[in-house]
Amino acid sequence: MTESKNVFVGIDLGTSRSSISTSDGEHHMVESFVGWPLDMVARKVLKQKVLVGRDALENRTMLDLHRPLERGLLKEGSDKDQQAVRELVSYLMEVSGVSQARKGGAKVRSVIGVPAEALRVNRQHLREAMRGFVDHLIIVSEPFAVAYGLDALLHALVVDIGAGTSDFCVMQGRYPTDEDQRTLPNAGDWIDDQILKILEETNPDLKASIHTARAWKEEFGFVGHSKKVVEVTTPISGKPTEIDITAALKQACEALVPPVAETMLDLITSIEPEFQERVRNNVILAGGIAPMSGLAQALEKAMAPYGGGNVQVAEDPIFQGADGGLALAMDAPRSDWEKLPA
Amino acid sequence: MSFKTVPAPERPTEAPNLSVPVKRKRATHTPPKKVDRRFRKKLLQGAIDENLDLLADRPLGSTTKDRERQRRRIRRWLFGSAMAGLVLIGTSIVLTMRPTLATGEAVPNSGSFRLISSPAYQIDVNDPDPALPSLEGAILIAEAIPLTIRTVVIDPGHGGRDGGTSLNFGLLEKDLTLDIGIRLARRLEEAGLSPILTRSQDVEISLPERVAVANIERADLFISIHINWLPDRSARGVETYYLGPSDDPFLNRLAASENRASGFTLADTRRLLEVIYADVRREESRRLARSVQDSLFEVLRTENPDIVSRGVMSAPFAVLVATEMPAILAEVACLSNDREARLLAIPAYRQKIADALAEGVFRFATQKERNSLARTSHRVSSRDHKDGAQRGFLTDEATSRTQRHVAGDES
Repeated sequence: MTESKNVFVGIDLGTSRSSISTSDGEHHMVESFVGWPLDMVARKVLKQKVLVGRDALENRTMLDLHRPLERGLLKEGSDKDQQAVRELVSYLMEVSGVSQARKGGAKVRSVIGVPAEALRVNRQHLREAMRGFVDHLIIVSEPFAVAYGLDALLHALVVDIGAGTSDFCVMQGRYPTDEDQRTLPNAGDWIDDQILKILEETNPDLKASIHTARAWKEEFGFVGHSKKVVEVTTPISGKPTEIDITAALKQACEALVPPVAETMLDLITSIEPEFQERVRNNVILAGGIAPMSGLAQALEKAMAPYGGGNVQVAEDPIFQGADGGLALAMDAPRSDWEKLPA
Repeated sequence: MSFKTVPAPERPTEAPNLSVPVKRKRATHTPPKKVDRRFRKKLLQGAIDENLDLLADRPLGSTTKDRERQRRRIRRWLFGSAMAGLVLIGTSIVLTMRPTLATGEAVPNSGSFRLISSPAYQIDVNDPDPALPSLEGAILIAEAIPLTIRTVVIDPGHGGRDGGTSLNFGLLEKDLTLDIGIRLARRLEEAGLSPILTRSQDVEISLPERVAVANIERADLFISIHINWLPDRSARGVETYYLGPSDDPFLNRLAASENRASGFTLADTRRLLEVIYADVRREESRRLARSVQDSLFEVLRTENPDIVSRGVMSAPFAVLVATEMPAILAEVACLSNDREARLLAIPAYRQKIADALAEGVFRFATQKERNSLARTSHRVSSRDHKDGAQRGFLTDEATSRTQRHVAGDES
């Protein structure tokens, strides 16, 4: 009897974006939005039962829109969010060809990253949501998956700043315990809120959505000095108006630095003194916010009074979680996979 | 200040449009090779253990702790066994040489008469009936100490990749033995005993590990549960084994098949056998086997009227060799028989098997305690009443006979 093929999958279910990497070489990303048409008219216009990703975001007025992964976690006790996660996973499985492989008899073995401080109940909800899409499942802390993928397993600090959470994990050559990890709610979404708050203070009639603020941050966000002025056109009292958002962007983005730097230093000082310098010089920045201009330099500057350090931005930070998950999935022994049904 | 950056993706000139998922075709991922694979494996094991805890609804970290504890125990046990082996070999050499020194002739190492060393006594193992050895002295020694049964190690046979016997429609010996083992553990626990399972999940455990669990936990009894597969598909029934030699080629083949993964060398096995065949434990094991076999037959006959008691037998199963307590291997049904296979698929029947095994343990424990009490009362009465002195004396005489036998005085 021939043995069925195994497809290994790494998945990063993010608050803002979700990505998948497979052993067949497929890499896909989608925005973590799922929407169902609100009524018959919407259904006729959209011609789809459910929309996922940017399609859902752009047609949100006609949709019951869900962003199911609040702070990187499946919202507890919400059937609709559970369903939304399933739609999201289903979408990723379809576009990456995993569903077809599974229909063809392949066993799907998946590793999913969750925020470092995800509770047991969140992990269980996620496990339930994954049922039917994968045959075997391992859930790991997101920064551990990143560290594993980068081979940064000893004397390294991984800082994974996504939309929902900033996750920190110091790698000391062992599977990270609670003491080795931290999670902060200050991340991409938090910056978006700050941008809107600051702009509304200076322009009380400005009406901009959180999605617009997010797009501004992703396009122009920076920490430190900007050589150019950032001007955008947005409705103020119904009239399209050009406004300078440079200061607001700078203030909002820089507000992220103190809590992140403080948590980094807190973790570094918790390890044995003789290894602290090595860790300070091996900080890896991953996640959607990692490439933000000036962020790595600002974090290095924050470490200067404590002996300085070196912050590297991971290559391809958006896929780092999924790639790390894939590396874990491929390395896990077959006998262990058998013990971990989805 | 030094600043190094790994090349980051180009920044978009406008808000990223992700309406179409980003799709990149890349080469299949290959794990980095910079870090030692064993080191990566260790880290990965932590993640796997955490997930096993989550699945089993246990506190996170439990599996890792259990694994470490088990490793420590096995290391300790292996060290202890190695030391004991050295002592044993040393003692054997001394005992083998002693007659040579006395008579000037070497005692043949094999043949019709052979002395086996044991920490407590020596006896002739060339017994006319190997299944029922004449161990009168040994029995008296064992029963002179009124012990109760507390810890019972239950060993569900096979597991993990080793499925044991199986049927086409999905009944696997490893699953059945685990189910029955867990039921038996519950039953014994209800009765106030302390059952320990060598495995509580579908995992592969080597025979030395199973043995180590029993020895480290200082168990009072060891029960290995198996399901039989007989070439004659019409054959059915239950049979129970205890450690001993066998002339039956089928039994030797069966033992060889069960011993495949033992990890014991021929020399290890022979050395252990030499001691254990002469051990009082063998008689205790035989009694336990008898008790369990009778109970299995009586209890299961109500559900399975055609059941056959295939008897109590001795066979050199490795799992029985190295355990340091009365140990048996029960073949609780025949998966090769259609009728019994159908019965095994019914949870209520598996519960019956567990109940029968438990009943066998209870009977053995009660009998053992009764014997001990009877002996104690004999001794009390021998002290209180002159007319009972004879029986008390008999016990002492038997003991002293054994001692003389040990010293080699008795002709």
